[in-house]
Amino acid sequence: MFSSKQDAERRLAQFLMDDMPLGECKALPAHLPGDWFMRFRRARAEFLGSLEDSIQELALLNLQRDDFMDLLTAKRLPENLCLRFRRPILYGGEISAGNMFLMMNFPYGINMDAFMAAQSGQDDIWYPDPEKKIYVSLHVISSAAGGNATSDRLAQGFAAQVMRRDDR
Amino acid sequence: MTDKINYLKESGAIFLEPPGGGRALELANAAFQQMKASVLPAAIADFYRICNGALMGDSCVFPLADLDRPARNYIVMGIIAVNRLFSEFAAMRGKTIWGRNMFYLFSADISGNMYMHDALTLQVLRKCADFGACLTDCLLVGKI
Repeated sequence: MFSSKQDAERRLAQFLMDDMPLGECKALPAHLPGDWFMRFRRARAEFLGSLEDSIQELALLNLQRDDFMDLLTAKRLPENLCLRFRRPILYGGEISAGNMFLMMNFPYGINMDAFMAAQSGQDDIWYPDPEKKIYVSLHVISSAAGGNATSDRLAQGFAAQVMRRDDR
Repeated sequence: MTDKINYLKESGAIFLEPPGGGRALELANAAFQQMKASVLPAAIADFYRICNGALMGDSCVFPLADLDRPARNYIVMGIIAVNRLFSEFAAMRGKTIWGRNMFYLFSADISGNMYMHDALTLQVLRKCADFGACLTDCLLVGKI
């Protein structure tokens, strides 16, 4: 349980997600519509089809070319990526593309599961609410995979460019 | 079990190569006992003799130990690390988490009961004894 937002942020920092903005909502269970799964499928397809405007973040995921193209064309979700709701639908979050974001499954997605589970039973819930559609931890950006492979060097170079742009 | 695995393979699931050496299962069970989780029941132990976990989209059956996927630049978290992460939660005492998808976590107890938990609250939503059915439910969500 987290007694305050600072407490929640501290826990996220332990999970290497100290740059993840948090939203807050009351933990009042909401009624799920009967067709929630169909709505989810539609929202998921809409979200995956809207990633053309997130090329910069996609590049930072260091995906293989096939995975990159499959994701960009909404064909499939590549390995180690997971789709998550910002405000949980159980607590009144909308089943819509706008309430979704993409993040790496390991270690961030599973750590986020533990972060959310730790709030079970609380009156107020802090949920992940990243600024962009794709969350890439600063820890990934500042420590892109090393090595001599072309994709590694490209990822490092691109990460350095993005960080310089963000600093301005 | 083999027909379920074949069906999931045809549906696009990736089954990871079984660990070499044969001691991984015993080591995992010893770790689970230390963290008050459950040793793996026979059905799941049989599964890990055939393969070392499975991946399908964002659904996953965790491998016995952290597994490097060098071609994809990431490490799949092993079942021991996952259960250590969740060992602080009372709802998971006596249970071992073996799978996850976008909505649910899947666990088992020593008697062979399978549980489907809400990933947000860890509340048990379903209990059954059929590992094959739970395996299918866990992985197929990753294909929608």
